[in-house]
Amino acid sequence: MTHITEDERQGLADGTLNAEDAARAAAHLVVCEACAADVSQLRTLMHRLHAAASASATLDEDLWPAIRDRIESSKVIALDASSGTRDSRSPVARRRPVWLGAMAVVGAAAAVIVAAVVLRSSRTPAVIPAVSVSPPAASTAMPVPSGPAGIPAVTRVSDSARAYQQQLQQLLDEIEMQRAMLGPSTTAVGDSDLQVIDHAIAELKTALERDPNNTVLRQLLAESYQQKLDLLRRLRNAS
Amino acid sequence: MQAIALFAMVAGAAGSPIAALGAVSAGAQASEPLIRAHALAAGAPVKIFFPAGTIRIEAWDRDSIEVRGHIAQHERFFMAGDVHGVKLGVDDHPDGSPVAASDVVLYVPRSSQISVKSVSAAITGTSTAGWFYSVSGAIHLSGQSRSVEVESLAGDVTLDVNAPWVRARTGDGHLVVRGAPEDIDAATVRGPLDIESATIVHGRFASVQGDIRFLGAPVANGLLEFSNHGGTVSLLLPRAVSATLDLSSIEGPIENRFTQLRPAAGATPGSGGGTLHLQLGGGGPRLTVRTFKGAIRLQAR
Repeated sequence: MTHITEDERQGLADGTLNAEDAARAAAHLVVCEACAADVSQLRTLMHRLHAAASASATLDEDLWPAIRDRIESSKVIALDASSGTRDSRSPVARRRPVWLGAMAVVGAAAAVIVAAVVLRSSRTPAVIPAVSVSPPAASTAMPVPSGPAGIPAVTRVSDSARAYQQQLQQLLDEIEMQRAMLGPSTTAVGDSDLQVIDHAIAELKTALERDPNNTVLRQLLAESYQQKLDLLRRLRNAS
Repeated sequence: MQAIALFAMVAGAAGSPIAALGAVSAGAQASEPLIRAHALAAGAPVKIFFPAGTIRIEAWDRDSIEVRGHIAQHERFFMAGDVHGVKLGVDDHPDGSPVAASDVVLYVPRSSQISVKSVSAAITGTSTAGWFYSVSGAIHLSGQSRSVEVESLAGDVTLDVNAPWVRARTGDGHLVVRGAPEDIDAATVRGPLDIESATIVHGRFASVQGDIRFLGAPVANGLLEFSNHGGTVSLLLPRAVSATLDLSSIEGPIENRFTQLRPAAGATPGSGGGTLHLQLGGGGPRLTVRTFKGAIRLQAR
């Protein structure tokens, strides 16, 4: 079996491969566990970079060495053993300036988005997805209840909201990358169901603005968010 | 009569692994019937990609896997792996064009961990455990199983399984839960969700717009939660049921045809919503229903 090339793996992971090549590579991934695992690792890597607060964040050493070793084996110049960070001046970094540059931009953008989401979520608790985290909506004006470990509940709320937004963004990114590989009918079904869920979420958020302490509304909103995550996961699995 | 392509047939024990199946993974001749088999250890994973047609998966008490069926003309069947795991199916087209329908029956060791993915193919499983996925194909599972996870974007899902753990999702398809599951998490986006079971200990049922209908007697100490945004939730309970019910709707009506008790008005005057707390019989199992604008209907059956 002829495996897909390094560039194809990385292009598939970051969505820069053209549609025809992407479809061919995707077909290969279906039958080749090794390549599928590599692309999956690369995507995970990218998503961790998305979530990183700065463009110089350290890469996960559990994830990176295997990919780096493979690239290393095809090179003439050996990598420095300490070159596991994106801002290192390694030959790998110099060989893929566009890829890494794009990720730096995305990473910075993601940091801004996450910051915005956290700020927004602290002002708008209606976006809390976890049923178990349920301080009253107006809690910022009231004594902040503490969690079991003495952690202020409002902290858990923002963590929860941020975790949800990150998960959501990760899935949306993956689906966007895979959109070319999804059939038109699949895309249509997915988009249509997403609209239904988003409409429900919008209605619930409007209702929560009128009645922010309504626990039933909050539970329904959490359920709708869960539905959206589930749908995005199913869409991701379709490709 | 066309010749049957018998690539490998092993009826031996798992202790006598055949050579890596990659050696016999060449594509089947397009218009010929298919039969392949080889040893497979108990509990080994079986990964299947079957885009179109029908695939029936049956558990048997042998330590081997067998595939029989017909592969559509010009389509390519693949099968690779060894005694520790197998990957099989019909290749997708690199250009994204639709794959023609094929039909196969797959026999697997009872303890196999199945992972099957289809596009439009209908999947039928009997006494199998694992993950079952389709884009639009119907999925029907029955028999005894360790655990079942079913996902479909738009296909109908029918579960008639006796399993300790079940998770099921579909978007627009009709989701039906029968049999004897214990813990179950089932949801649709727009498709109707029907539950007809009297064995559920922990159940979570949700939809965005599909109607949910529960027909059964909750078990003692059972915990069942239903939530729906715009669809109706109907509980059809035995007249002699013992249960505690908490019903809440923000804008939808609550219709109690079980007792004379009327729901309390909702928090927003004129919204049409309300709440109703009921203890029937000696209490016991707890059923919680929440909707935004969908109706809640409680009635005896």
